[in-house]
Amino acid sequence: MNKTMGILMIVLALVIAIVPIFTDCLANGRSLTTADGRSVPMKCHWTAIAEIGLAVPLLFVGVFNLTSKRKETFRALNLIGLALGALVILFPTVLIGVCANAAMPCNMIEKPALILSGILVMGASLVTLAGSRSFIEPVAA
Amino acid sequence: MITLDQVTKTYPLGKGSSVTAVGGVSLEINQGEFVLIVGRSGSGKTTLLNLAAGLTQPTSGKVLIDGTNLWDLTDQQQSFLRSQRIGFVFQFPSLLPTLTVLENVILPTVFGSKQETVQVHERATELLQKVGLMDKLAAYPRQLSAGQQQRVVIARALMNQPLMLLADEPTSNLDEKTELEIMGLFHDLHTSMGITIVMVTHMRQLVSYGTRAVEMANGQIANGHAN
Amino acid sequence: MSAFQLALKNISGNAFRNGVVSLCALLLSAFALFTTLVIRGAESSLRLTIDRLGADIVVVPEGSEAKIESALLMGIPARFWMPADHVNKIAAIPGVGVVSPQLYLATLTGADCCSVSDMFMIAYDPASDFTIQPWLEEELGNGLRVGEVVGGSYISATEGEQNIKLYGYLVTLKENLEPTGTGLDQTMFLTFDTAYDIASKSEFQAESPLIIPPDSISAALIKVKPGSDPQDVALQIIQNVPGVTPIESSDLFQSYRKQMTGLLKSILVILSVTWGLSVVLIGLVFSMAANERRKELGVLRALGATRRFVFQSLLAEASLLAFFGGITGLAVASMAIFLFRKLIMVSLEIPFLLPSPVSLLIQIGAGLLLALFSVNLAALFPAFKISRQDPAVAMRE
Repeated sequence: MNKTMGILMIVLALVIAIVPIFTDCLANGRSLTTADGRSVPMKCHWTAIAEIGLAVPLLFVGVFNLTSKRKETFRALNLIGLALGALVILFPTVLIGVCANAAMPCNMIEKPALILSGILVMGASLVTLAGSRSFIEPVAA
Repeated sequence: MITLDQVTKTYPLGKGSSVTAVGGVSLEINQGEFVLIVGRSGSGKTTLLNLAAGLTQPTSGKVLIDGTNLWDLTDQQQSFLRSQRIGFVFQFPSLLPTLTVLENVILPTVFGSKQETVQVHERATELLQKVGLMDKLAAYPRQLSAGQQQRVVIARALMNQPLMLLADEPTSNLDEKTELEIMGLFHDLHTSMGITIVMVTHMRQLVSYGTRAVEMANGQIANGHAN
Repeated sequence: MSAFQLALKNISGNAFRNGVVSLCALLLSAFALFTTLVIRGAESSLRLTIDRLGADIVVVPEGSEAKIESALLMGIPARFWMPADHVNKIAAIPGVGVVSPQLYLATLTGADCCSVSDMFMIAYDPASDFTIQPWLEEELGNGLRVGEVVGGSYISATEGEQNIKLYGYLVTLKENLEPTGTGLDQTMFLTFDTAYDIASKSEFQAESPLIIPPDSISAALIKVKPGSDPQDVALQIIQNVPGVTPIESSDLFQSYRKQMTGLLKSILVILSVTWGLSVVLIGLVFSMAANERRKELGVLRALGATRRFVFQSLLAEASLLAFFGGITGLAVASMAIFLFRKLIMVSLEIPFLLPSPVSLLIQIGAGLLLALFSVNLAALFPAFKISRQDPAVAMRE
């Protein structure tokens, strides 16, 4: 079970890091023009960048879920996973946000993909936490 | 207790040919005996034990337990009789890997008559104490040695207070020291509880543990004698 | 320990094999839910849109049928015109109850003067309108004044709390309509007066002016008199009003309906194939599992388990795997459909409306039953076969 959740977390980390970069408005040719004529990315782009910052530690959580053997390690890892999953959801919704227009690509793909990924990360962490309660330490050879 | 009356067991090999594992054997096992059935590999001793336990249907002949023909009963009646009257100890590791030691020991009560949970747990704990594994209640089979697993199997076999124990090569996968421990346990159970034991083994040196030895060869009883 | 508890413990063994069965149940139930929600969502969206229009017949210039469908369903702005005089001709036809003209307009694309772009705008005549006006009177107590608009559910104010800039003109967003899952959700509704006001001022205020051809309308919505047959009225319109096409509401969105029927057929084929393959795969996995566990099952028989117990226990394990896989698949599919509903609409080019909570629960229940049925069907033969096996044979090397 831990290994399955670990693999799922690695996959989700990759999704969280990669999908937003290709589905924000900047990647689709849209940006804001400031008063002095400069072209700047909209906040959906900064959300995508911030999500990379969450994806990296999540990748490590996934990898360690595959390799760890101790009950306490699993607990700590998946509490971190739970927090990371919550942040993955909060960045595009509350903390940074995406564009207001519902027809923009960030609203259609980036934000829902991040929310779904965040929910799945939290779900995987909870499942591993629940499973670790009956975790059996392997017998020394 | 158990009467085998001219039982034969033949296995078809296809294309009209067959092999006779047991041919026309009659044997009576009385209450309180510790019978060892010895013989080389392929002599039919395991098949004879399976016939006695009702784990396989004879091609011909009768198997009677306390006078009742086993194969006149329905599957449900047979299964109930097995769960209440007979305890099994197998050669291979037969504990369920997904259950703890305690859960494995109480497993027979799932099929037997309804008992209170408290009584069931008390009895299981008592049996595990008897076999010296009180500290392993919450352990899983993969955390135990082969000898420890076999002790748990013996405790499980005694769970429903059976009238007899049937053991098929219970020590063949164990080292010599552990083998002696397990045989000692069987001997203690026989003398202290008066339980009838029928054990199949290819090791003639174990014959001294029993009250009677029966020799099998080529699907027939070659020689039966009391100790 | 009960038989159910035993089954629950048994499924924790061999994670890979049980994971495959659960995964099949997960994918099957998720796919089934996704397809039923999409198809039913499209159907209910179409029905709601037709109800929202409130018209028995929509009259448009000949050749504009596809454009009006795209506009109403997908929010793709449409521009077509016919003489305003047609309203009088249509009103004179026996059987016609109310005729209400509409103007179909569009916001500018990517212009600096505007805070929204590529939006469909519908201008209506408050004196004759029978869709927006009654609703407004109910919600706001009065109709829209000049400079006020009502938006579909996706329209939001972009200038301050309440305003939107169109053609350099600031309008106030008074209210949002309930979602329909169609292009109406990104459509703005305004009165004729507001439209003409924007048009006249846009010459100075906008990058490009809003042009409304004089004495022209885009469409006329008709409510027939009680007892009249819309088909008869439509025929008379064809005979008496040249250059127009009357579309009965029952015929509205025909091309989309055909598209959806085609989509439904394809989906059913894919679902059937997926189901068949899943059942075969699960059957194979169960056969393998039953063979691997034959010694264990033989031991259970030796301990006193009946054939029936072994059979029921294996099916209980199958049901548990189906349940866990199915519930997970259904939960993920529900979340995905809710979150990606806009993308579904745009990429499949169909309208889409989420079901009510009760309807969703019923469909989830159906998905779960499908998973349970499929996995149990697949496990039936292997479970039966192994439960009938001679315990001694089962335990042999």
